[in-house]
Amino acid sequence: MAEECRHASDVIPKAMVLSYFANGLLVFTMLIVYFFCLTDLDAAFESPTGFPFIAVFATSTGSPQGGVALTCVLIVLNVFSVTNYMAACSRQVFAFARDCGLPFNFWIAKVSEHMKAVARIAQTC
Amino acid sequence: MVVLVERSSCIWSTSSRSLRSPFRWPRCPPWRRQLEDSTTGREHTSNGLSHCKADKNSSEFAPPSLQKSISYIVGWLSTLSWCCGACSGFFLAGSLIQGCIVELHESYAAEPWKAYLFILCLATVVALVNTFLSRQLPRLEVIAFVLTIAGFVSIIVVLLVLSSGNVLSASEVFGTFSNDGGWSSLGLSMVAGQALLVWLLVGRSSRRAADDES
Repeated sequence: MAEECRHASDVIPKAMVLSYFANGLLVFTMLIVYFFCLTDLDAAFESPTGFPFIAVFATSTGSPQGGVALTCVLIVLNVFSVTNYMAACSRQVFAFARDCGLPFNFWIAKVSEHMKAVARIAQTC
Repeated sequence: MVVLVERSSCIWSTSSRSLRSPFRWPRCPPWRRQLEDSTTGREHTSNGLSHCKADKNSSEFAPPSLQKSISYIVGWLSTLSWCCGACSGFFLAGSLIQGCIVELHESYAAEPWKAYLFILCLATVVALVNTFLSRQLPRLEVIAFVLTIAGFVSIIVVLLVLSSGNVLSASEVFGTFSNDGGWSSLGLSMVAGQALLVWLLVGRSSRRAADDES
């Protein structure tokens, strides 16, 4: 990804450090709020969903629908994050294939004339 | 594979231009570079930057006899970790969708293959977006950022408002320690439980990104 942005050697480390601390702060806040809402630990762990936090959301909001609504927010965010993650993943596969590291690298490392994007790796991944 | 190894000896060759490197690596013979360019279509690559980005650290600072093997190990590790990370994201999203259905409908039989179908569906959609909307990815990133902040605030506010009468006290939150995992002592239980939290602090994605981009 760094190859596609300007002033990469300056911008990328700053972005990494900043995102590390920003995310740490957000996670810590969320963790404390979550602990305040964790009134019944055993019931949360015995949730049939397999995810204790869905049960915590449901008991906090007072209804299963409320808990599912909050979980849907997480699902949408997760899908966005996976999209960006896959973009980074495809770049990594492309970079390694360009260095002749992967099998079939000659096929993966070729960039389509029309797309001008790493289309094949996105499909391969 | 012999061809692969033979051609990969070019991996570290261009780092001889670097002034930081205390060593002088032999340059690639020009005919081999030409062969590589003609077989990999390298002249069509994204913006004409030099190759061998992925393994530059290991190739530049490793002893010459180990460069090739270390380059391969580092490259494979980081590539596989990216792919596994993408997979785990899909698995989490698919299982969350199934968890929501289980929460809403008691009669739903949560088979693993049904979750797998959700995962496949998500993977297909994301692959299509990455293929055909790749120019819009920076915009998508901005949308994801705004949504993350909005989602964070909304979840915290909803949790705190709706459960206002039914939260634990501060002394219970910060002062209760329990050993539910069957460890022999509370201290050991604390240390074992911290492994997951420390894993969150590792900043795993940024380390891989550093591997990729430095």
